[in-house]
Amino acid sequence: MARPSASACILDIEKHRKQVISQFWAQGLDAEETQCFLADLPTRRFPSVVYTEQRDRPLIQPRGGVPVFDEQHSLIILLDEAGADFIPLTVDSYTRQNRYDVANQLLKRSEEEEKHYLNGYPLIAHGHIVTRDLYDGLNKPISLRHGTPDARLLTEVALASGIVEIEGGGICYCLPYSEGFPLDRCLLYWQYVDRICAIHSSPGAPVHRESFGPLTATLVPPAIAVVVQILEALLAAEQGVMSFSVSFSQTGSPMQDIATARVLCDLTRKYLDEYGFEDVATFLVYHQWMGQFPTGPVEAAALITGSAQMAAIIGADKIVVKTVDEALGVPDPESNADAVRAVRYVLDRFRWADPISSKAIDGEENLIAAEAISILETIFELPGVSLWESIFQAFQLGYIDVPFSPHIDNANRLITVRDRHGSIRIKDRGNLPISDQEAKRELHLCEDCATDKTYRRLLTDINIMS
Amino acid sequence: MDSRSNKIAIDIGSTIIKVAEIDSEGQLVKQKFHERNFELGIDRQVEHIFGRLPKGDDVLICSSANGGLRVGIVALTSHFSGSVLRNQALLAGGNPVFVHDFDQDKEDLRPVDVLIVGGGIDCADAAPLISRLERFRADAYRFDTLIYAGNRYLDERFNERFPEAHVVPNPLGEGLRGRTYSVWHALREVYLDDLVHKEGISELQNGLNTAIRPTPEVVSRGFHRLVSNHSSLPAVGPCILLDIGGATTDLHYTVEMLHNDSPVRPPAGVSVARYVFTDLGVFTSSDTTMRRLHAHPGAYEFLACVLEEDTRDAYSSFRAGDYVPSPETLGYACLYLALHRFAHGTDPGLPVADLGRVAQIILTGGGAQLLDPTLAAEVAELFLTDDQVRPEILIDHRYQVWVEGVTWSMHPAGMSVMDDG
Repeated sequence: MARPSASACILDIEKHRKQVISQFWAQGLDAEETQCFLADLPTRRFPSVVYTEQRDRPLIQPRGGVPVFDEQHSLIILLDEAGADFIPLTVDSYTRQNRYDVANQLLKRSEEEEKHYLNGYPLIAHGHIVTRDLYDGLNKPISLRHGTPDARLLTEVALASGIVEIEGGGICYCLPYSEGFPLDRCLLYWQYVDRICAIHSSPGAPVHRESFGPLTATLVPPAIAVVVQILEALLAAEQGVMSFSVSFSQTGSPMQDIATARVLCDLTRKYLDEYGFEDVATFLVYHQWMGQFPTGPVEAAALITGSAQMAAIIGADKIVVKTVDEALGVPDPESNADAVRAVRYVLDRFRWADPISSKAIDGEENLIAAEAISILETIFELPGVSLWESIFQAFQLGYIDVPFSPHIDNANRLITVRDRHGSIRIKDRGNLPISDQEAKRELHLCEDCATDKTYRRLLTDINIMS
Repeated sequence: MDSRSNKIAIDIGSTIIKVAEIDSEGQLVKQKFHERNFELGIDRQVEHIFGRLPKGDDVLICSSANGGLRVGIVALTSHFSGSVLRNQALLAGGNPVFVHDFDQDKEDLRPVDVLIVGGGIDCADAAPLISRLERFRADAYRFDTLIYAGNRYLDERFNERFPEAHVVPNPLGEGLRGRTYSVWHALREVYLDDLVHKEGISELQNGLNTAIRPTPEVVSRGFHRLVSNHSSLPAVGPCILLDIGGATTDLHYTVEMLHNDSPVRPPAGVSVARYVFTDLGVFTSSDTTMRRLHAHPGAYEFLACVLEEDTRDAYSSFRAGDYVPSPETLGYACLYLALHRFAHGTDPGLPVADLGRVAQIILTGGGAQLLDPTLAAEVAELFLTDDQVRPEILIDHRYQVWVEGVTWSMHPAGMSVMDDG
């Protein structure tokens, strides 16, 4: 039986680290120099500091990354001026796949031809010295957004660049993003990421980790998002991470969003406390609709403002913003800045002082919590010596099952649909270890849509916003 | 330390019997090596070493004395069912000789110990496999044991045609997921039967509570333990283990080092895989190793790297066929040729590795014992460009990988849900 434990902390991290930062692409990284650099970083560059400041609305973070330095710099200025509270650094796909040489070649080509041959900022090709200059004079946290199964070097370079919010995790950056990257290897590599984040933390300025709760963003039932978030928070805490954000994306049902947020916050705290990680600070991040986006600018703008309001209602600490160009391709900087302004307008003008409550929300909350607890407790009972191994087994057994994940280790037996209110319901639990009572309740809630089992119905459920 | 709680581990090789005492923490206390006495036979020699035939729970034995099982695979597709069957054969310590599609021209019909026939997921509507199985002619192959591991709906149909066939659960199940390690189990049983039959070790096996296991499977398990961070031997990042033996060189690797464009890959979801070079070794395969080196375009570069003497003279002598390599040179040649093949995927079924991603190379086995880590690193660097990672070289002088494998009672995480066959 493998309960979460601080004893799982990697002891010989320096040996691993020496190997990672001795490679060519590390370009002169030095752990001690990074430590000194981070010690001199303005405290407002640390998310944990910004999160705990007095505020009456969720903080705003767009996404964004372009290959060439000057353009990335312009994007940062634009987003900063638009009112973003967090500045993103979205990394290109080649870097995510550890193809640093290709990313470097395409960076050079992008610079020479003044065209974008990469879909993000090739952080490792630019290196930490250059990247530090991007943020010179900036007094806001920078968030690393990627999707990398093996993010060890990427995280080293990010930290050395002064980026102290690292998104991702061994589950959430493997299952939705990769078909075959071995999940067990990914979990081990993310232990490294968590450990170096912990090593570079100080009590007043901890490096912040954030998990990616949307997963495939396609009919993911709230209980699965909650389970994955809690497991990644525990894995990070095992390695010494002191500041962590759990997240989820707009489900399409306001009631389910409110209930999910409550369960996610409550259970994350409960399990961290239960396993001796009381000192880990946790925060809640809400992603605007992550599924198929409407192509029309009017509908897209409405969705963005609507979900901005939802972030305030659920009491999120941060909202990650989409743009009206979402369905059309990589958004341009102006579109990104417009989205920040729109969300900020909504959040500044429509404030929520008190949480919303109703019998239906309470019932939803109880159902999600019961399902998440059933799954988590079953995982903790699996044989093994480490939590990461139990998680790996849980996927093989179908105890965690992420709908529409392309990954081979995902069971893909769980079937979900939307009920008449737009809430995501479990139609067939597959091997999910939830009780018969919970499974019956789920079926009961989607009874009215049970007759239509067509492929078209599935597409309608998936494309509810488009 | 209470030596009564210690375990005895024995590895019966083709030339050496290795005996290790392992404490309750799984650490090696001491080990001894005994040259095989072919006149005595294995049972009597082991009895002679211990004064009696070892018995009970505290004795763990593995062997490669009969060489690995030669395995032939006939499957619906080489990329899916063939790949899964091949992977399980390798992890069970077998040596796949060929992987054929049913309809493929049979070019490579070397005799095998086991012929595995499989394919398809478990489903009633299986017309493509039915038609192929009807055309399948077992008498076109030379084998000792026939195993069917395909669509379970066709089990009876196959058994009617081939009553002697062992039918095991389809490893692909209902979803191309390769979760049932039925072939892995079946091959371990066949291996033991083969060992008892060829080497006459029935007395030794009868006294044990656990089956004698194939040594490559034990090493594979030790490697899995290592890369899962459950070992006293730390593995860092993408890792290669080369077990350089007298007859073969076994390659074990973590699959994330494979080139993205590799045309051959282990089945998706597999994190640790194995390949065996049956022609590379420092003793019984020393001739073939030298022949392969002789035909290699990088032979001069290799000799310049590993020899202290004048390379041109050595190379002239090497080209003339007069060169007598030292055991060390043979060990380095196995390393060089194995890495070269892995970097280019030149052998059938061998994926293409991006050696620039390799963080660590662990060398074990008898052929690795004489190697120098610095020189081995220089050999590895022959395959790297300036901007690539320099792997750490670790020589496993104490056969720690084997110890880790023989004492690990837990299933590796990747095998954690396999059934009992």
